[in-house]
Amino acid sequence: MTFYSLTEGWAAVALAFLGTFIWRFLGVLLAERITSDGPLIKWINAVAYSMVAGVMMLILVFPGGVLGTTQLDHRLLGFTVGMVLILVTKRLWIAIIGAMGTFAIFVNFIGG
Amino acid sequence: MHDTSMAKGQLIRCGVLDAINIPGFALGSTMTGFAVIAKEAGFDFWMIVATTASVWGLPGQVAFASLYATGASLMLIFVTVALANMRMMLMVISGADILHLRDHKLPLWRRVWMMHFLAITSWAQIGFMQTRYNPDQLVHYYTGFSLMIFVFGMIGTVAGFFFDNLIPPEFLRIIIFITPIYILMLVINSRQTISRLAVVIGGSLCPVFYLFLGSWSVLAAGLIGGSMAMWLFTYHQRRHSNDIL
Repeated sequence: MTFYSLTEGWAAVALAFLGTFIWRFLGVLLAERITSDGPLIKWINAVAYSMVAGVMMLILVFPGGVLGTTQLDHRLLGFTVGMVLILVTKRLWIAIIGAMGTFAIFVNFIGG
Repeated sequence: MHDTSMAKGQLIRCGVLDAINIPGFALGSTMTGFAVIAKEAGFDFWMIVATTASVWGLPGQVAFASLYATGASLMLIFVTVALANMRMMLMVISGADILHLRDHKLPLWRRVWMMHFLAITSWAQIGFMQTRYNPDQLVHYYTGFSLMIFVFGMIGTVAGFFFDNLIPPEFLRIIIFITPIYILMLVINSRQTISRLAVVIGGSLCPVFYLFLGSWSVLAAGLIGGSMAMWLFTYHQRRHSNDIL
């Protein structure tokens, strides 16, 4: 089911592209003008890290779609196991397997 | 610490191989998830493919499909996607700095083209790999990595459209869980203390802000988290240098 005609549908796709492209384009233009060692780039970097962490935590805490069918405490448990493993072992694959394994066991076997 | 003996082709290959691993499969599955949502929302095949290829930023894509499903106005779609993907600007500035893009004297269209492939995964990956490669090497590594991730994303999207009924949700939800976890692991292991601080503060604030601010929460948590990290770091540094003096 759809609310839009074919032309409107494609106009929506074009607008979604434009809504992303403007930021990438502005970023490329601004990157030329910002000095590499100054405090401004440090701040931009920090805000970028902070935003990305924020977006990812939102996906974990308030997910939509199929991930939304799982329980918050199961997701947070998997996340915690992964974080502890990465900080202790510094090995990505161990941490990923630990996080995913914990999550999979809880979701599929201990009531999801 | 940097291995300077590697040739361009070798570096591109390293990028490609690193992508044909956890990040590629995780991102491909996330795009499968997107295609499933978008198909339900009423997108046809080419619209789904065009959205992944041209937007190439998952939070914006998901916001787009969710609004499309409700029949929202085109203006609202534009504003919401723009808001969801605003962080692209900061990621591009930061990514261009990590890669020392200005030193390569590339024409504008080449820089824009290169940065089109910069999304969260490849940005977090080059930040993480800074310790292994110098900026000149990192550009080639990034080329291989980001293109391969893009290929995985497209394959995942196509697979999601055609096989949406065949993939068991019990399996899909575990695979989709990997992407946020993987990205969070990369950013928490960033080389700079200030970035790690920003990750902890922004990541903790955002879900709380979401309850009051909705989609503005990412921007608010990002600005506050980043600024607080910067302030804490410089304050600590100043105190430390005063102690020495």
